[in-house]
Amino acid sequence: MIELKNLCKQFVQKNGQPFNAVDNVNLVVPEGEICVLLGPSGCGKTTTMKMINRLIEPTSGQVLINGEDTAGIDTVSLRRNIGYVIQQIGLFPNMTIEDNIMVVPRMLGWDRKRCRERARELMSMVALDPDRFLHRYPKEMSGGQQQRIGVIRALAADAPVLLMDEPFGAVDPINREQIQNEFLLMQRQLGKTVMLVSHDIDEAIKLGDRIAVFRQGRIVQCAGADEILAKPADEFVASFVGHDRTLKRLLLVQAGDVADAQPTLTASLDTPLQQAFGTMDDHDLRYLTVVDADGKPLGYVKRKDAKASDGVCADRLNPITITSNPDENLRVVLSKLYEHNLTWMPVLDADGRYNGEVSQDYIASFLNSGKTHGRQRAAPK
Amino acid sequence: MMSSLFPGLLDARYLFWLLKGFGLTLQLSLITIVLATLLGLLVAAAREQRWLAVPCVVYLSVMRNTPLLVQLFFWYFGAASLVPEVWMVWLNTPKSLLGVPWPSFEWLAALFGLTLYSAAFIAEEIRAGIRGVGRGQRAAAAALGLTGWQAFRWVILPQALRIARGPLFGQYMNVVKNSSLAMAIGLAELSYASRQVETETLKTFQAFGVATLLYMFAVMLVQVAGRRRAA
Repeated sequence: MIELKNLCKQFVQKNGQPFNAVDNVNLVVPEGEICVLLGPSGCGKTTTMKMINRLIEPTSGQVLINGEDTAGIDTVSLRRNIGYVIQQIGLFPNMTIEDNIMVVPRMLGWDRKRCRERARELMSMVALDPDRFLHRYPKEMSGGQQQRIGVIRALAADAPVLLMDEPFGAVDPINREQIQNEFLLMQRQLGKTVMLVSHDIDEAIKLGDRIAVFRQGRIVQCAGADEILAKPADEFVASFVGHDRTLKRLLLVQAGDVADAQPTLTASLDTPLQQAFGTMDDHDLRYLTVVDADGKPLGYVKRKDAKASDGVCADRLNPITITSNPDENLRVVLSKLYEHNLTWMPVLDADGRYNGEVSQDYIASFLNSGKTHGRQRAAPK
Repeated sequence: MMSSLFPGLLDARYLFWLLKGFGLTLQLSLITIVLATLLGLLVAAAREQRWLAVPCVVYLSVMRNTPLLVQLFFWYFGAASLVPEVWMVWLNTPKSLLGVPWPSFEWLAALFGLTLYSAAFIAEEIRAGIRGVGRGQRAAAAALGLTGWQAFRWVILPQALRIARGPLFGQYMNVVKNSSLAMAIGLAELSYASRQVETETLKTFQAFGVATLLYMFAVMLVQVAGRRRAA
């Protein structure tokens, strides 16, 4: 756990005036969570983070790690016990990848064998072949690979706390997305307490369990991603997260969440159309999905077809063109709907069984229900 | 005899003088290069410390702004009159150190002067290399919890030396050439020997021609060593 108490950093400007780069910041990052410090450049987020491992000395205030005041720890041992992913990767070009990763463990006095094993273990965590890469030099790797090494170097000594200074800024967007996903997977296993500096709202939404928005050295809002997007504290936060913030919230909700919020209503092939119409009438639906004995969807019947017809659902079956799985976020779902000019699609579980549906109406009401707050984090794909 | 058949050539005896002088040039240059590099490193590192910066700058400007010949005269003649008599006697007494015979005072003065002079230039080349290492590297080292010395030794210095390698080997070539000035304080290195051969034989072209070839050979050796390391 990281706790910042009344943390301040004052610089003296060229004209002799004091300037509060960080102004009375209070923040708690609970064990195992990722907290993103978000804000425009010069807002004090990086300064705040650098005061945690005292790359910058605080002017006043306290930094507590797992309850211990770090002011009493010498900087060298403090830093060795805090993982740090530096801006622009910061690998040492004169050392092999193995030496780069093992800098901190070697200083901590690990023996050769343990270092070697740890290096191999870390490499496999980011899906890089140790035999191929450990003896290379940084410049012999791609930017994305170097970025991964930068992250595992910070994890090398298994420090419980990890600080990341714009960690994925040096790679192209496609690689960044992939590395972010890998990082989330790793974080789920490792449960580090992470503080991450970013100026990218999308990165913050994706990675942050909570987001602290900085402005002029102060935290203006600290909350979960959905709350920041749904209820920005002021005009500054609102404009920083973007005026399309409701669309961004779609990223935070999965199709499964929406499907779970509705009663699962289906018909089978031999259900009389009149009965199907009754179900649609009772629940104010315009269509009803028809499933087989296993619950797998076969098609759907329209309300207007069922209204004045005799016979069974099999007679008036319409095919289903696209489906969604429960892990897909609403942004992807909505994109698919527009792509196929549809207003709804069924959500199928891993076994292909009907599990509800997502429609534009359901999405709108879900976003307004406030149910997104206690979300489970999306599984990265 | 060869010289009677080919009257233009130098007698073997004189060639031997030249080679002996060349051996001394090589020995003096090599030891100077090693010592001056170590001293240069020390000075370059010391310059980064605030409280040592001023003495370093004084040393560097004295060494770099005065002719080497004057410096050699100063160490050979001037120092001899400055240090206590007993020291001079001790320095001049023949003795043996771990089986190696004690060198002449001329040799010592030449080595001392040449080392101090070359170290100043080498220190500046290394410092330029240190300046050339990315700022982020220092920050990265600090963030990982390296002490100032560890960061210098394992991160900054190796990269600085790589950057400075070209100019550094240029300085090493200068050491070989500058060692010729030691003839002025009576050290019988290659230039001294060629002068001697010329006086004895009056074959000016041959004597200095051979010396020139030998110097070129030595400098080429340094150049090749530099290339090897670059590869």
